[in-house]
Amino acid sequence: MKKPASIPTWAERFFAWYCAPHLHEELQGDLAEQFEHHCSRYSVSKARRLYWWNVIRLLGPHTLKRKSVNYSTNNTIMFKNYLLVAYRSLMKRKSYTFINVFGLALGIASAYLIFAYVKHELSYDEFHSQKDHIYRSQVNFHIGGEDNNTSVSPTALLPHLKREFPEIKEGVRVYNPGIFAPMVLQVDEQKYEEKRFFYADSTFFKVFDYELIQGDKKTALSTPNSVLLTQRMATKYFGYTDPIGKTIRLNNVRDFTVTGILENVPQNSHLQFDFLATFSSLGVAKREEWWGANYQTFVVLNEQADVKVVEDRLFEQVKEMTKGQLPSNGDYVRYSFTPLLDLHFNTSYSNEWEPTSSMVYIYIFTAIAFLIILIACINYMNLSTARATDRAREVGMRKVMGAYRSQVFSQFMSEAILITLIAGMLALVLVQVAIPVFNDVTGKNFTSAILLNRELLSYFGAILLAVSLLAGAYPALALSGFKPIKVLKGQFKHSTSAVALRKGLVVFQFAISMFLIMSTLVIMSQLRFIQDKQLGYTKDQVLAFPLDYALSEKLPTIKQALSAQSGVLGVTSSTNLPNLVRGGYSLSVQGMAEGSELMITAQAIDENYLEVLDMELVAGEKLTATDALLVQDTVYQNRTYNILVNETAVRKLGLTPEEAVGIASNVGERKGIIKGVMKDFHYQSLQQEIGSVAYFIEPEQFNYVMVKVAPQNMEHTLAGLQTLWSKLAPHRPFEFEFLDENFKNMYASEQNIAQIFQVFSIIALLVGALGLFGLASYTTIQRAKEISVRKVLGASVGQLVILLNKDFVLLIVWAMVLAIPLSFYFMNQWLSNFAFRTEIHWFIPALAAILTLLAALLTVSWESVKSALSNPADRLKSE
Amino acid sequence: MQKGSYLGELEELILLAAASLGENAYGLAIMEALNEKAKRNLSLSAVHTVLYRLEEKGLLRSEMGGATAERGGRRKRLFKMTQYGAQALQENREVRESFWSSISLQWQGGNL
Repeated sequence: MKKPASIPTWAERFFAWYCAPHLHEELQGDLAEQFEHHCSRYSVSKARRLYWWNVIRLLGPHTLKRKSVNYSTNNTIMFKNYLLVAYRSLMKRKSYTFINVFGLALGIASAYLIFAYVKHELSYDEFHSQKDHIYRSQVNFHIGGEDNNTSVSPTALLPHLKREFPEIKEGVRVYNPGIFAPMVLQVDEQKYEEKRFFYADSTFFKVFDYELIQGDKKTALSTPNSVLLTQRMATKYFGYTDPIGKTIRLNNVRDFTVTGILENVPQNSHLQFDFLATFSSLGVAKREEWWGANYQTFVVLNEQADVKVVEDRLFEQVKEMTKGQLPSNGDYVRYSFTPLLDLHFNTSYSNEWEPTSSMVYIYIFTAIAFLIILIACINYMNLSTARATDRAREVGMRKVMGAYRSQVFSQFMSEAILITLIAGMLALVLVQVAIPVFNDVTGKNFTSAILLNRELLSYFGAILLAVSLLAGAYPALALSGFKPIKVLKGQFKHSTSAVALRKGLVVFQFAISMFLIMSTLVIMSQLRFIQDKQLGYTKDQVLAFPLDYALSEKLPTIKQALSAQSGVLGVTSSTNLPNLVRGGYSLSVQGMAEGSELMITAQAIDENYLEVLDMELVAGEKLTATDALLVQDTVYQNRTYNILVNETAVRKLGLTPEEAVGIASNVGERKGIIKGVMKDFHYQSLQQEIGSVAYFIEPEQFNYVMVKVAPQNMEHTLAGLQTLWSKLAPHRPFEFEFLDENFKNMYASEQNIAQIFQVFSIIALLVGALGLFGLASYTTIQRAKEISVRKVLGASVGQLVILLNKDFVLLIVWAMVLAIPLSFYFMNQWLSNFAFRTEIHWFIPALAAILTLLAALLTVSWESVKSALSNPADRLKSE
Repeated sequence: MQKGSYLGELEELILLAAASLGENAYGLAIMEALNEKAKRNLSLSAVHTVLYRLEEKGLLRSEMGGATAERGGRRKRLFKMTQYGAQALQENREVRESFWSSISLQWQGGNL
């Protein structure tokens, strides 16, 4: 007998793959039978060929089409049943339902708020129609090998650009004198200090799209001494009367006529102003000046223009213009242009008018949002799979009654979707409730409008979808995979891999919580460090009053009167407040090679400055009233300045402090002698290293008068000062800043970050603890009999609680092992932003660990103690 | 004859073959019977397509038969003519007969 010929395997497989299952058997039977007939008639190879041919010919619509009609009707009918069963199972275990819904809602609400924040941060200046073509110019002074970047530019830049560069379509200069000292505005008898008073060229509205409520954009800024004010200010100054044509007096010297009302400037605008006065009102506007930069220049470039080309050509031109005017050969001045849209995240330029943000924080917050949602999803996954025993019989019954795995899967998926939807609704309510708190934390101004924002709602929808898939898929897969025979026989057991996965997920959750807590602690301790840092001067109980021209005139009288006031310990004045000294100068000393001047930060102070602010000298002497007399001559060249420098400056000059004292030196054009060397102190943000500093007396430059008051009887002292102030400066309101407050504000963005971290790490811990609570209470119930038996056999309550808690504590320990190195790594990265930073103390991981452990133990013990205390008789009597 | 239940030529042949095979009417058997008696060269695919169509129209019904040894243990789908199928064949036949009765196919010589 011939050996039976074999059907080509691949053809058979191919057929099995494409053929609809309900036709598969009979057709393959026919194919096999015909193959046998062919074998007896033809050669084996021909038979195989014919088999292939048949398989290919059978490929058609009727073999490809799956039988499906019956199943889909079945599903729609079943859907009602799924909802009913879902509702029952939710109601049956209310605490789990609460944990799931509330946890997910917290997560989703957190994400919603964070997305609102991120969207706001990313939307800066998006409202300008020419946003993609607007640039701001910056200057880089490269003098004596040191770089000095500044966001302000001279008056001559824009006219020059407009003349020489066809690429420049439009441009505007903006001046914000408020950064030096607040303006005093007066209408009739009302006086206010305003810091948001800008000057701008008449082309302002050709560049930007700030809206006018009243007035004409074309003419509003064309005549000198006219001003626009925002709606908010219009109400503040004029109430309900029409402000157009009214007069506002500035600093008691100049009158401005109101020509229009601006809509309040949106929060997501890099330029933040309340008043907009015509640039031509300024004396400097008439001259084109290359030296002395106080103005921000914005330009609109043609669409085809290449910024790089403009920058390079401008560089050549500036090089030509400044030839021979810069100290040494290698020095240069380079202008560059930054896109308007990048300004909010650009941290590389000093003296920005508005605080900038960092993209890093945007990434961090988005990550936190996802992490919290993930924690909530894990809760759902863990609780559903842990509770699988509850549902196992149901799954078994359904399968016996003819349910397919896909149907059971979709049943559990729809349960997850239902829970997510409920959580979503609750989340929206939570968002609404949390908006005021969130505004506090972020320092922004969100309203309920974020709940109606289409973009945010679409993210919300995406989150809901992702959460239902993420949270629902694993339990649905696991539950729908049960074998009916096993579960109905009662042989159901949690597989070890499922238990391990559940434990792994808990570890992951708590690792995230701990990571967030540790980060919060590190940020807080760095802020603490900044607050407590010995700055080299006193910032407590020091009040700062801004000066104007009229006050500067009679400064000596004012100082005298203030000093005489009871409770006042000292009075001094200076150009800048001590926490942020900005003036850039050059310092040269006798015998120094040409062109090797030191770039320094300098300001004018008076003779009492060091004493009032408790600053120390390491060599030489303090400035005295005699030194003040030396600079009284109105001709600068005739003056002799006695100069104080800091240790860093002396070191950079290559001298010891003792050697430096008495050396003739110049600060800029000012000729003088170094009289003393100050101990290094922090004159700017702690993110920066300490540089070289020089202080000298020059009353013309004073912008502030600072008053140090005694800590006792502060209220009395302040009241006395107010009375005195109204006599001394009747044209100014009694408004002042506390130096320590001002100092704190320098770190406002870090404060915000710390608060945001604080809030969300607590939420993360809370959601994680909720899940743990659910899990612990479930396992405790599962072990109820075991516990009762142990108790009967003599176990103490303590032993039982330890037994029950042990497993969970172990998980938390694993979470620590994961989280601690991770936090150390990331937080060291963050700390490296600060030139002066705290160490990560051992107590930070310890505290985080204790907090997490405490949260976990509290939740776990709640159930385990309850179970250990219960009467075994109640539990065992049923058997 | 009902509208829409028009039987195509192949449909009619397959229906007849299925009916004539009685208890053993399955795809391959029907194909082989046709190829043998009507000297057709039909493929499995063509026969199956028509069989399923006839089933959809309600002229045939089918069920899976018992397992057999010869085809690797696979079961056959056995087709049976329904009452409606029989009626359709009958009608088809009557239409033809009515024509047949009026003509004589016997050649009458060269007068034509």
